[in-house]
Amino acid sequence: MKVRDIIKKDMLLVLSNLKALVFILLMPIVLIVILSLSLGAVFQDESIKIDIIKVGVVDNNTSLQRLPLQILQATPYDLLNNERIKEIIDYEEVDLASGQDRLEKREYSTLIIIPEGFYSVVASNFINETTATQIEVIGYLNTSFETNIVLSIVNAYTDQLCNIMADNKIISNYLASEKFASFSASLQEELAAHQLDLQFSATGNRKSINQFYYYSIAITCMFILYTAGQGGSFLLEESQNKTLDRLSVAGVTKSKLLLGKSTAIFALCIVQLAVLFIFSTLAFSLNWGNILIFFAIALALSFSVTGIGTLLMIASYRTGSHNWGTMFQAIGAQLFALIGGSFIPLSVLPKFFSTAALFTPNGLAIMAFTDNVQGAPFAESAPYIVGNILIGAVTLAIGLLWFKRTKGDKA
Amino acid sequence: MALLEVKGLKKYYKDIKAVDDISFSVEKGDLFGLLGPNGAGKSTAISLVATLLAPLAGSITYKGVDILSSPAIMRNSLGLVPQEIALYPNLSGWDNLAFWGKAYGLRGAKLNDRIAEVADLIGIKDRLKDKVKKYSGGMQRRLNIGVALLHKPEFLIMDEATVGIDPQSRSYILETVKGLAQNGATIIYTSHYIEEVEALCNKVCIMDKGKIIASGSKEQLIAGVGADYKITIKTDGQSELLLERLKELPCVKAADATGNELHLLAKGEEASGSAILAAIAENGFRLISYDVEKPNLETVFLRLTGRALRD
Repeated sequence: MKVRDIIKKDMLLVLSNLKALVFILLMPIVLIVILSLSLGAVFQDESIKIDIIKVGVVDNNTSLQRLPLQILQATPYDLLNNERIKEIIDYEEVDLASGQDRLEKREYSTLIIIPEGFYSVVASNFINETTATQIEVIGYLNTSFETNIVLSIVNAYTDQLCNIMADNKIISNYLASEKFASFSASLQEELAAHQLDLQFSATGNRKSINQFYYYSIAITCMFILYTAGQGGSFLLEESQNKTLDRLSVAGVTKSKLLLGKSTAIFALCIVQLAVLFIFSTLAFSLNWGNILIFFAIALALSFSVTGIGTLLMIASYRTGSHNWGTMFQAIGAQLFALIGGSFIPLSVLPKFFSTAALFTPNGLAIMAFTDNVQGAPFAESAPYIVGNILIGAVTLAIGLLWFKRTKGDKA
Repeated sequence: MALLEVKGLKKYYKDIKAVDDISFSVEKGDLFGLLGPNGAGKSTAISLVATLLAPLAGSITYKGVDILSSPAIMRNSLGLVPQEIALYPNLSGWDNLAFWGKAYGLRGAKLNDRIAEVADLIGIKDRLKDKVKKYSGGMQRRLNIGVALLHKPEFLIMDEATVGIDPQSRSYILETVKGLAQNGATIIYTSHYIEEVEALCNKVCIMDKGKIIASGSKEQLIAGVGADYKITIKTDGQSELLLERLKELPCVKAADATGNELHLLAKGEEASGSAILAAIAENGFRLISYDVEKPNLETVFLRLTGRALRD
């Protein structure tokens, strides 16, 4: 017998089981739709409480160069030192290399880069010159709100400056005031003439994702865990139905059978991912980013789930209990879903969850998929892919060691 | 040389002696019955022969080769029909046969041909596309047998193949087994149904509490325990003289009368029959009925163990 015959048979068994199909395909589709439509606010609601945002400021200007705006109390620091802003943003000045390094290590959620000559350009724009300059904001959009909040604040700052430039008449008033004033909306039309830009650069030229992307990924990555539980009973069922004895008499070794069944779990994961991602693509017109990276993430996730499924399968067989798969589906998968960010985005959960998610197949896959959707290079998804391969390898190794332990009474 | 030779086989589970020092041999073409009550050790014995379990002690040779060290020699020739319905109920009959055919190395046209032949043999060809869980119990049993026949095994082990099915399906299965034996298959048939073993098997081994308590042909077993025929005769009259005359016959071991009915225990059916009928005629009585209850394997088991097989 060939391994592919075992794979085909096990897949046929699962795919002919209506209950299993509802569980691994229909339920996630329903949840993707419901959560995407109902929890979109999570991706937009500014009232969500967040931790203090660590921001690095790279200022390419000397103290002397900053002076013109310091006199006007119109530097970015005047804004960042505002008491209300300080409640949410903790900034520090760093050099570019150090800032990029700390951003890479996620010690900063965002890096603000003030270009050389920024202060003098802004000051000259107050006197009718129209020289262009820009503040650069670098961050991780998938870590969500933090970068968006910094972006909004810097945006507000530049808007204020533009307003000032737009109406020289009020400069004197402004000079007299200690705080920024509110400006008339009628000045908006003049803003276009002035060229103080704010450039947002998501690290790796990232784009933002919406709730449809997030929950398509998150729910898919959660429900694939149930396939591990489903596959967990494969071997014990053969044993209890006595088909295992029959296969043994037919000369099918247990190793070959195990290989076939593990591969069947892997194939089921691929089928499940394909169905759910195709559904999301068609239903919400989503673009999954670099297709090769996408497949790499999907394969790594499937391998990870296969490892867990194989371990559950061997545990069930060795102990003669279906509880392993059942308990994993009832508790394990739910826990992974919570920790890994399948229910609620990690960005709105305490920091602990972001670390813990690195030990869950779904958490790793969600981070990798969202990075890829945002246009991150392979290097950024690679650690998550490796993480899932490691989970798969470790669980497979534990399972195989357990499986190798002979019972002694079998021929 | 016997096709299968089992010597001193033992298999214990903690304190339970499931198989306790049994020996038997099966010749090519035998339809070998393994008879015994539930828990007698039949299934354990055949699991040992099928290489599914390793014995505590003893040897099993198939075609002269020790199957404990070379299980492949047995596995390549064996078709196993387990007591349980060892099928995939959510797959169709065809999918089941195809899967098991591939397990035995059949592929392509050869596989399709065998599926068609076996489906015809077991009478399910019209239902091949249906899921097995929709089959009746009898059909599932037949498919359970069919799966073991796909690769045309030389040696077939059937463990309680007719448990829990309707008389019609049972009859179908028994006819199938007879047909297989007539075509040269060697079969070990375990059952606790005496009538099945009596009807099918040319050799019988009776097991009880892990041991073989008797073996041989049915006739040898009955003769071995000296079982008697029970004869009940009804005549149009009765006399002490007739009763005495019957008691004097050498084939009659005991005689008793109730009204017009005579109850005799005789040694053999044919020899005693003519002598008894002659005695009735000589005494001027007319025979109304003559019933003979033959000794069977139940009688043998009863004689050997002191209890009925299905107790």
